[in-house]
Amino acid sequence: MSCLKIEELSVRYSTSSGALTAVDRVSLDLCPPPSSQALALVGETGCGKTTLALAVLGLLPANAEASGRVLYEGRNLLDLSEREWSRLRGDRISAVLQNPSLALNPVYTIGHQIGEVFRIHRGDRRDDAYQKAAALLERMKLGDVKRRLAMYPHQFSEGMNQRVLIAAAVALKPRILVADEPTKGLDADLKSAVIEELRIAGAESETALFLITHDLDAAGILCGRIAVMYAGEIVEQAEARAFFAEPKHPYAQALLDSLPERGFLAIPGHPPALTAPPQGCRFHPRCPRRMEACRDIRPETSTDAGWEVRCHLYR
Amino acid sequence: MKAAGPAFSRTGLVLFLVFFIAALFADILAPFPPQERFAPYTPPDGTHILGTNDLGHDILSELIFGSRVSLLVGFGAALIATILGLGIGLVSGYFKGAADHILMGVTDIFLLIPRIPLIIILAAFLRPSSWLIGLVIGLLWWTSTARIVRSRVLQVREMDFVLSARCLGFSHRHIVFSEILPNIIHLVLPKFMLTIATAMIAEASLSFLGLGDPGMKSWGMMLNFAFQKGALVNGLWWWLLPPGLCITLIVVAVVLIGLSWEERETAGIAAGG
Amino acid sequence: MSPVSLRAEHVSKRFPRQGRREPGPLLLEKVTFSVNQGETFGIMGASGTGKTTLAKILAGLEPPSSGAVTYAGRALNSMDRNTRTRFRRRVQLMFQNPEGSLNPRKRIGRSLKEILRLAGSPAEAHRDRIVWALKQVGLADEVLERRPSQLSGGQNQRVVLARVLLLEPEFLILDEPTSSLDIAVRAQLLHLLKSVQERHRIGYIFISHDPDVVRFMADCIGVIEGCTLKVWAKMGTVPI
Repeated sequence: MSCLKIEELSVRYSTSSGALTAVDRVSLDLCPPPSSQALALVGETGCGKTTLALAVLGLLPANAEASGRVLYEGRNLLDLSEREWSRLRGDRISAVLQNPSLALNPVYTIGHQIGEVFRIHRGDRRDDAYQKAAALLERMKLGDVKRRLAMYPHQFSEGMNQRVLIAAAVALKPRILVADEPTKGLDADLKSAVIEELRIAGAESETALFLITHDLDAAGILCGRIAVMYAGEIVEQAEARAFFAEPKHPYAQALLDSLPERGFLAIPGHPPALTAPPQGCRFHPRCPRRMEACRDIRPETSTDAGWEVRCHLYR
Repeated sequence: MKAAGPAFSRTGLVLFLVFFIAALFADILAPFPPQERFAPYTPPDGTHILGTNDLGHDILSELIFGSRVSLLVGFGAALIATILGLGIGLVSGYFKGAADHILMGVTDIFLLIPRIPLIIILAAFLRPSSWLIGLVIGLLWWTSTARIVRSRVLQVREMDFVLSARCLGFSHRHIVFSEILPNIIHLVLPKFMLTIATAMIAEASLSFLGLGDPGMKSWGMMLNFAFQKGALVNGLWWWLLPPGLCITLIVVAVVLIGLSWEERETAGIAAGG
Repeated sequence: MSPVSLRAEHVSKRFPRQGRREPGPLLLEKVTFSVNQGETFGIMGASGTGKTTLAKILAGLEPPSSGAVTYAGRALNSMDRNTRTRFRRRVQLMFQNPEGSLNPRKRIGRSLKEILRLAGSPAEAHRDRIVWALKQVGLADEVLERRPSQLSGGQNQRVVLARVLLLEPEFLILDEPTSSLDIAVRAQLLHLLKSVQERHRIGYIFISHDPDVVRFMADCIGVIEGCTLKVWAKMGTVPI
């Protein structure tokens, strides 16, 4: 059975400048049988992927309205109460979000904060929690564990904080780990370290990884399946290796072309404002292969052996 | 956490407006000129809604005119204190180095001074006058504003757009007034409101102790006279309660406004970074 | 007019003093390189190696502990007033974080106008110059009414670039300009930077931790290792 299934999820925000559909009828399957347990949701800033992450975690703000189903163990997560959520979060569904320095409380030591995970969810006593926290840091090979546990978040670098957060997030071996841009703004060494942390998390503890990022390298290393999001819709979904070899949707192709290996080829124009997406295909104003139909008719998703594309070229 | 903003400030604003209008239009609103004498010690009745005091002055009229003094002194003192604090904080935080050390040293000294006793002593030796009280309060109450402003300026001056402005060659004056000031004003305004509250209380306390200006009868002075003339012993509640109540209400009004601004600004920062 | 050059000559920078007697440890030691107008010098190094401090020293925002920054043949700390003003205009800095680079309380139009006033440009010409600058960076006029928080990271970086262009710079020091941008926007900005460089003959000092980006932009690369800068003439030979 699939661990997390998103069916026709839509999220609308009511803002002062009108209604904004950040997520438009998205369907994703985190662990489709028989294979992978890691899905990467790839897209640029503003495509709605963070909103999707928040919806999956029950963290949408008050002015957002979600419809559709997010199925976990037979239940629709969108219907859960805050109490039911607080039991799930951290324990069965865990998250690593952007801005690691903001996620950690500056007045408590690292040891205290990691230990908190065990104290709250497992009811461990302080000493046991401390030992477990120590074991986690030991594995990350950050040097003198005792000293590290007594340090505060501002004494760690951004990258180290990120790794600590990931370690804390997977400490309880959650069923699902949602990671929103975990490598954003990090330089090469830290990026590798963070990617490694995530890889270990997936391998060791049967944790399904839902990676949300614009970093295609991380997506390729960590995930078996890739889904590409543009202007609130999923435009392509496929098995990772085949996808990187030959993506089908023009936007996906353009994204891969903007990688350094292909010469940083830029896509002209910029993503549409979600308050007024273009008629027809949302990518058509920037698409090098657009046709007449693309201007007026919104393409449906066509599936072929597990490969989904939303484009008139592939009907 | 939902901001209690609108409710807070609505109550505060309404209350404040009441007093502000009373002060502004005292001549029209007061039923009698405050110096006119009637039968003394009359309890509240049809003509004198709050009765009369020992000299036969109508208490309601005194109360209404009293609002002028409290508001003037409160605002005046807070204005002086805030401008001083803002100036010192800006110079200290922006230029750092020697200026910072000296100014912060001065701030420390001022913080050590026991303020109310000092004002009492000053008022005891100098001729009591509302202007003097306002000025002295203003000259003593700037320290916490200075500290707050300085610490925010230290933050803002390291932000990229300020570095950028320095790099582009803008003058110090431009950078301080055009780049830094707009980004700290949101801290200063709530502080200003709260300083008004403290100043009003300070003035009321002094007047109550008999060190106020007998010529400009503030609410504190009304209380002072009331006590001296045995209002408490004789149960003349209509003389005691109203001024006390007014002091409380206007301070509450000002504080509510200040707090709701502060919350709005903090919420704004949290949301928009 | 012959191309101007910006040089760093034996620039060293120490951390602030710890004790009273000993000078602080070295952050940068005898960094030496030069850039001409129209060229790009790339600087790489891991985080914490002083790249941003070097950028600030080159822009004249921080003094070096020893050594000198030379512009148009004259050292920064011994410049007369006119040259100093010229230096301030012609050597600009672009930061990593697009949100922080513009005053959040000012509309874009105002931020741009200020620059023109600073440069002493006559008020009638302002509108045209601003429209020209926006065109150079591919932005529409409507951004003038917005505040930085209403624009995306990529758009903010373009505004910063437009602002810089208003002063007709000869050199631009870019400190990780694309690190917080996503891949598609990064590609756009890099191409924009290249075309602007060609059109206006600006010398770039391009700092980045990303070897691909530096290789794409730079003619010549310096790598900060330890405290020193090793200069490599052609990208191909850099051992990354």
